Amino acid sequence: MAVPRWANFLVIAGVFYLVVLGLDVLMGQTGQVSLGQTTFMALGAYGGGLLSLKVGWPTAAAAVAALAASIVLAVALGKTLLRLRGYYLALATLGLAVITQGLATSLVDVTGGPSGLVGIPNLTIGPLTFADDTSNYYLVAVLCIAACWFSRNLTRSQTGRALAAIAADQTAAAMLGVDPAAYKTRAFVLSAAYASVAGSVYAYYFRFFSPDMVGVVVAFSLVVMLGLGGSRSLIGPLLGVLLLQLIPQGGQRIAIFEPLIAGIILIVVMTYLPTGLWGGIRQLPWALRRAMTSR
Amino acid sequence: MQVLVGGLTVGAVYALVALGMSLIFSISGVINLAQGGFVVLAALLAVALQGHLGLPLAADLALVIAIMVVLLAAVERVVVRPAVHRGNNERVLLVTVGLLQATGGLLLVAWGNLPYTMRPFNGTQSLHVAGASVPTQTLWVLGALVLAVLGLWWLLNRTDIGLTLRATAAKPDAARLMGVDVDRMRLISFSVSGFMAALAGVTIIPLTFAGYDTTTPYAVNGFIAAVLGGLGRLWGAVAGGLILGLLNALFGRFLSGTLAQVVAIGILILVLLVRPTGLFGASESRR
Amino acid sequence: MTEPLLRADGLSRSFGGVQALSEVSFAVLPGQIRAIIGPNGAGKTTLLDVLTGFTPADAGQAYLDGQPILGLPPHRLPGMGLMRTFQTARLIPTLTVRENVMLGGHHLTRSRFLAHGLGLPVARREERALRARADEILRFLELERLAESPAAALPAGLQRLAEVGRALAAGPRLLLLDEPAAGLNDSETLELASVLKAVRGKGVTVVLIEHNVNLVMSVSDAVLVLSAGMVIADALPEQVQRDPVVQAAYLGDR
Repeated sequence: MAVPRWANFLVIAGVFYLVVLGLDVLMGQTGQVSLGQTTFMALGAYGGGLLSLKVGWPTAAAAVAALAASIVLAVALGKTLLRLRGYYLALATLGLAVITQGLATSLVDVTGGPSGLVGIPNLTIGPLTFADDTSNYYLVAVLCIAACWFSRNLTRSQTGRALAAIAADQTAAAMLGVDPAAYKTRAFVLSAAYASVAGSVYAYYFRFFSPDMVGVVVAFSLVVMLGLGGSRSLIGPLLGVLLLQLIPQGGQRIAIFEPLIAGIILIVVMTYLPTGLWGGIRQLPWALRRAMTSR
Repeated sequence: MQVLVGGLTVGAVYALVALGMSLIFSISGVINLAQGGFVVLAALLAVALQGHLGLPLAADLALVIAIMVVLLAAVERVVVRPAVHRGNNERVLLVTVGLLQATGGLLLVAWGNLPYTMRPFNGTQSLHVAGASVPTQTLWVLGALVLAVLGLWWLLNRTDIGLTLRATAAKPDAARLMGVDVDRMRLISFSVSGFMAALAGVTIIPLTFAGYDTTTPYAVNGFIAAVLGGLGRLWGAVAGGLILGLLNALFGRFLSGTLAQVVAIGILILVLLVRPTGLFGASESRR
Repeated sequence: MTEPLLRADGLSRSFGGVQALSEVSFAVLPGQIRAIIGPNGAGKTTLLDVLTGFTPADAGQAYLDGQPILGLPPHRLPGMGLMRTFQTARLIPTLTVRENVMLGGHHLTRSRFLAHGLGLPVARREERALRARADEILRFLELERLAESPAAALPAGLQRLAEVGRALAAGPRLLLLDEPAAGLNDSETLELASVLKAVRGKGVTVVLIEHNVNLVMSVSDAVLVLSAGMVIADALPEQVQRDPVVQAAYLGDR
């Protein structure tokens, strides 16, 4: 499927795609702005990493335990934070991101502090050990496909419609029998689950994890990836992830221009392609036809 | 006491960022996340102009302020206005995220990846107040905040433009119907924020190091302070910034720097949960 | 004497010094079309908001088939047989007309996130049932041509009709309609009247808040008149039309 040289890039892209897919359920479908995905990535990564490294648990079990912890935390946070709306919710979840990075940096005895947690084992499921690029690539690909399948089923179902109703008009949704608080919390939990699994895989692949990998900048870039690529679709988030991951690959010569380029791309896409890259691409036939007939 | 001074100093910078953000928000509903980045830009501009052109301090400061005022007007015209006309609030927010990113990127290209600082305005003496050693530069920072607040008060309450600004902020749809050029009001609010970013940047740089990667904390903390004070509430923004700075400093006394910030922000989230529109915000939601 | 389907008992509500509702009491018998009219600011929408849990009442209680309903969160009401529409049609713009109507049947389904995400048989069965029901309702309202259209693309009159269809998908016993004829032209209003009668024919009780006097006269079995938060008349349509107190209240509104 893929040239092994690119496998490293694709594994990382896949991990982020998984997180952004989860974020899409919460932001794209349910309309709740959240900068809190890194919190659950951190739980999945540090949780899985610590349980297997320091406590000796098998990696798969550690990842599942971290997932369970993420779900519990998401339920608690969801019930409290999702009462907030709009910018205030964004702020509260931004606070989560800051707290996550802060705790990861300062709890040195637990997390290894700024220099990170070293020596995390590779993921082992039964007889299979995912140690190299290729095997991790396949693992991530399988996870992403499963996540896509789940998300797509969700969008086309009554739950997907209920989420769309909450995003568009919470009052109308309530009047239709949709309990907004319950649905928002469940969407939050789902996105947390995706992020936790992604975080665990991330840590097992690199055999290392540090606070920078779940910093505030990362939290912002996840939202950027979703907005850039286009929400409420499967390809949109993929495009967003690939684009944002590709820019740093441009090479040493343009390395110094990367943040500037990334910023300008974001500005331009957000202004002129409000439905993201994928939305813009999908609308291309209509736009072309309109442009030609208006002569 | 020492701690209080340090907290107030940083808090003043946050307050200036928050003021700019709240002003822009109250006039146009736009949250300018890039405001923190502009502070760093102003700081580095001041360093560069002094270093490369050998300008005396006063000229340096005046020039930076002038540049920032014009630059922010240009940013509004070229970047923000098209986005506002074409998209909704979420899109515009992401545009300002891009703007913040681009500002950091510009700093990287123009100034490289090393941090910069500047000599304090009055040299390195300190005053001794109530048992604390207060660097004189601190007074400049606090003075900048006072100047910004007074200047803003004068602008809003003593000028015709200010009246129009306040009317636009209170009832934007009515203002538009009465022929107010909302685009122009937004532009003015951006320029005024540029002025405040410049004040913040040039006064704080002698006390700290700034570089392309120091934009995020100012942006994040400024945003937190603005929302905490109630978005659009100018006095709330000032209070929010100062409180955030003080909280950070107070906890920094007993905990490591990052942990202090964690606790401070945790407290702020709790506040938000209790008072969802900020400490001083309106009880019904705007926008 | 039949038991009322909906009974309101002394409902009162004030906002910041304004008494929006003052001891409002009335009953709605099953199978009726009941209209609530009154000049602007009479408290009609407040009454709906109180009945459907969007605003708390300061005093009083309301009973749906003998069950108290005040204070329940709005999303519990469809399960009890009560559906409400709003003054401006609130169809979900990102969904098609059919999807909007399917959404109405929400309280009838059991499947949630996991069942839907995993595509379990029970979820798929419910989906088929929802879709069949939605198509049936669209046929009943003669909207089946527009089933696949994005809801936002419909003109206002048809949006209003689709919203009624969405409410019907919940299988309600009581339908509360907030100014369904607002913004409709004469022929659309006539069509709405026949739809309302057909809905009653299917056994659904209807309460509508309306300004359009013709519509009210032609479809309602009984009319409640509110003015400044108080009930000033509660009688047959012709009687209300001739009532001098009612006329005075409206004259004051011009």
